[in-house]
Amino acid sequence: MYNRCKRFSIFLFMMLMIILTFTGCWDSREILDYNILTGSGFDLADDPEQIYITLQVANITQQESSSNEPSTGDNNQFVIFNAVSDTILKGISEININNNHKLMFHHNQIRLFGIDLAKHGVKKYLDMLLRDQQARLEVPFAVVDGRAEDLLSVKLPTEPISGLFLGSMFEDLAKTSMHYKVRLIDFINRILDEGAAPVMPIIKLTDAEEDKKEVIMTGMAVFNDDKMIGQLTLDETLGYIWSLGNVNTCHLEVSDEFGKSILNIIDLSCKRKVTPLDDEKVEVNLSVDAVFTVGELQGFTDMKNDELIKHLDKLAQEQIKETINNAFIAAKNLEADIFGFCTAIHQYYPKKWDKMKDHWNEIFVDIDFNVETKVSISGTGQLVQSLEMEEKME
Amino acid sequence: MISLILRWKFNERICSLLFFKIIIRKLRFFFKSSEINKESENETPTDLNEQATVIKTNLDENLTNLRSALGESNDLKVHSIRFGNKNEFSGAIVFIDGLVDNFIMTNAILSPLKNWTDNSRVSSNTDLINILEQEVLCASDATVVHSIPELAMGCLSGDTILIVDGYIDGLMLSTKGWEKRSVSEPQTETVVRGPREGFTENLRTNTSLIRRKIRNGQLHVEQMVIGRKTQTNICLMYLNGVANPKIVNTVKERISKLDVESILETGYIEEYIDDAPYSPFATIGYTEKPDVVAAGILEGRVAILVDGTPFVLTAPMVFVESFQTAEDYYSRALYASLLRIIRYIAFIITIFAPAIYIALNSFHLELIPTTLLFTVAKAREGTPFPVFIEALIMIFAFEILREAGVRLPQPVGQAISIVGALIMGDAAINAGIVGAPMVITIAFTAVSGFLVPKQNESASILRVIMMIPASIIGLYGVGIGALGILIHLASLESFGVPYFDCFDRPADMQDTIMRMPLWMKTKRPRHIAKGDTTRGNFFIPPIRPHANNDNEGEP
Repeated sequence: MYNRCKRFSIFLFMMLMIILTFTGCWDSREILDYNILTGSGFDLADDPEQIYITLQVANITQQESSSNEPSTGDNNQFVIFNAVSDTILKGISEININNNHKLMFHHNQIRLFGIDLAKHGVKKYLDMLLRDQQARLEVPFAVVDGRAEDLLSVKLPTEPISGLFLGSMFEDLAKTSMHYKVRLIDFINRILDEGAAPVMPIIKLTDAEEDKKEVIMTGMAVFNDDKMIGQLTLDETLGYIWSLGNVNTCHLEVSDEFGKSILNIIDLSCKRKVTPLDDEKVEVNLSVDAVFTVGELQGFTDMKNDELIKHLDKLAQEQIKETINNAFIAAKNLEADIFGFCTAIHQYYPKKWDKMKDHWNEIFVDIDFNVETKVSISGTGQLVQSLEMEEKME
Repeated sequence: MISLILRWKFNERICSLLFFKIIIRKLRFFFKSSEINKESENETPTDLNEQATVIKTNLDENLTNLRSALGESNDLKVHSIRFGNKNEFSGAIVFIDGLVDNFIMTNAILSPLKNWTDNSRVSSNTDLINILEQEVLCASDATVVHSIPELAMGCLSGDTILIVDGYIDGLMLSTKGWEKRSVSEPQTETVVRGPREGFTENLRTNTSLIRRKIRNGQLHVEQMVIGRKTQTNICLMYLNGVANPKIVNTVKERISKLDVESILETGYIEEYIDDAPYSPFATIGYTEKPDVVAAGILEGRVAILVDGTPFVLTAPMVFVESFQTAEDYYSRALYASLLRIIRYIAFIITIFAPAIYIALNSFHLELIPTTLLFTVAKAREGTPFPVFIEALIMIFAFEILREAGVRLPQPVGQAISIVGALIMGDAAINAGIVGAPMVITIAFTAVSGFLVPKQNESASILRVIMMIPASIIGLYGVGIGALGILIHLASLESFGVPYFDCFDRPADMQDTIMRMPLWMKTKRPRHIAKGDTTRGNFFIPPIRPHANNDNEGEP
């Protein structure tokens, strides 16, 4: 019995030693010791070599705890911290020093760049964001048409914390196509690819009065290396998104002199074939394969069902072709290969790429760009014809 | 040995892998069941040996000896009688009041004796007792004994003793009959569907309840008497030819080696013959329901019944047994399987939920979804303690409440649960001692624990133990703790059967995570049963029986 007790005590001792020596609780952190960051924004400071950091932190005490306590309107549910500094980390530590809680970056929902900073170049600030272990690489990025600070400190009618709103907004857009959500890793990959031009969604606040402002997306900011050089409009953005394929739910508006229809894209896939014809000429063939349902129909009163479907097919094909072509033309005007054709050549024709890479921009502008579309309408909803057509038949 | 360990410790960074192996070996070593090899001195009960032992011819002397053997007790009744044709024999019947049924005694002993007049054949000294036993008395069981201690023992177990002046034999007549609880529905394992009878405190009733379930000559009942002072009757029941003789012998050997003063409940036996006395996990099963015991016996288990308790032990026990209930086999297989999976999940929840909550809250804040994090942070706001202390407070409060509810009479118990659960929980949140998510976690943990009542004790201990590494090293600690529990469970044995049995062979798996339909279960558990291991032939139940009937035509 004595022996057993001794053995057991040795065992206990060993267990304790394992637990206490293998590691310790140095990285233990209590929720209450931290400020939860919900959004961060970077603007150009007055001195162009410095940045103006805006951090949006959730104000836990003002969060609605339960539904039966109506929140009083004037309480701010977030707090804004600002710092001006030449590096991000320096600014953050400045904020940390002057605060009773540390900042926690894990739940950062969005990172915003002011348009001035984007035009000035963002590369040198990305280093910290990549290095920092706390930050997730999945956080979406966006350029603000204006100052990032304004967007972070605005109180939106639907969601009081704009960081959370923007986070879920891009999450929602990513359901349509994942290319709407530009994560740090996507952005960096594009920068590192020779020849490719990074893009980033661009958003702005509407010019309404205080408390009624809303966030709208105005297109895609196009970068050359790390400097913003221009912008795609919303329609051009749509073409860009379609050209990348994998679009799930989206609307397509077609119209001609007979009538107007909104088609729901159920599934749109796009195969691209990039073939260098010679050292100076590249041919790109996109074949778009799309499945639609009819969402809304106005007009087309003179057509029979079969005709109508065929007609809509034709319209949709043309529309898709035109939209993608427009996006390409916009990219051509900016001399920015936002589609990443260069990557395809780099991967499949590395030898030709060696000859092309020095003057890729010239080749890109001169690309032979063809779009083929194949469209099928899988359903017409509960109605086959429009109501106007039904009436006419009778 | 300590120095050795210390040396390992210093080298741990260099050869941490080797060190881990050693830890596992140590873990196994410490938890491995070691048979108690020490020969316990086999003393026979000696209390009564000091008295005068043999029955003398003198009746008065015998009565005096018997009285002193039973300590001049008040409830010892001595009834002197005279019987025979001319009342020439004088004798006495001795019994302990309350242990005998007066009606049986009158009918079996007194009236036959009084009416017996034909004593012409009594010639020699020994004849009388034999003639009385064989021809006169109407008792169901009669034994001729020669010593005072035997007589005393008989008295104590409810027999009536007849001694006659001038004869050195005594007659021990079975007239047992005392107040006992009738067979009623057990409080612990209630079922919606299934037999509602439960064991009682009476050993014979219990054995008969099992006999009624298994009408088989091979159902062996072996009696033992354990306890120097209590002389408690213990029954082993097993199905000969199905139960593994090794297991039966181990159980018998361990019980017979017991040299203890008293056995008042099966818990005594369980603790004395347990394979892993230091483990939080029980390695012997217990139940209050005859159908459960019968099922166990049919799978080759040994049932241990103890006089004076409605709880019956079944050995060996495997881990999955904790998740099986009687009703699993009485309801449909699909539903039973669903319930069983829920039970496994609940068991994991009840051990790990507080630990994971602590780990997430103090180490892995990034793993909590943002919206939930806000809620948690809001709830934690203003609470003074770290989350580990919070959890300890709540678990402690819960255990207090449970204990209070269990011991009190039912109406008061309900009041306690209302006061405890509703008022205290709410007040604790409002007073800012603990946060609401913690209360939810602990409540969820507690309720989950009740799904597996057989492992409730181990779960209560383990959940507190798991909280410690979780609060020190986070989810990594939870992982290490879970690994430790697994290693421990895998190293346990119950009477030579691995505790984690049933997970190594498809035929054994049929009754583990899922409960397969009965017609699929053709084999008994491999490690438990031996010999006749086939339950029945595989057969496909009559799916769409009428499809065949159409061809045959109705008569």
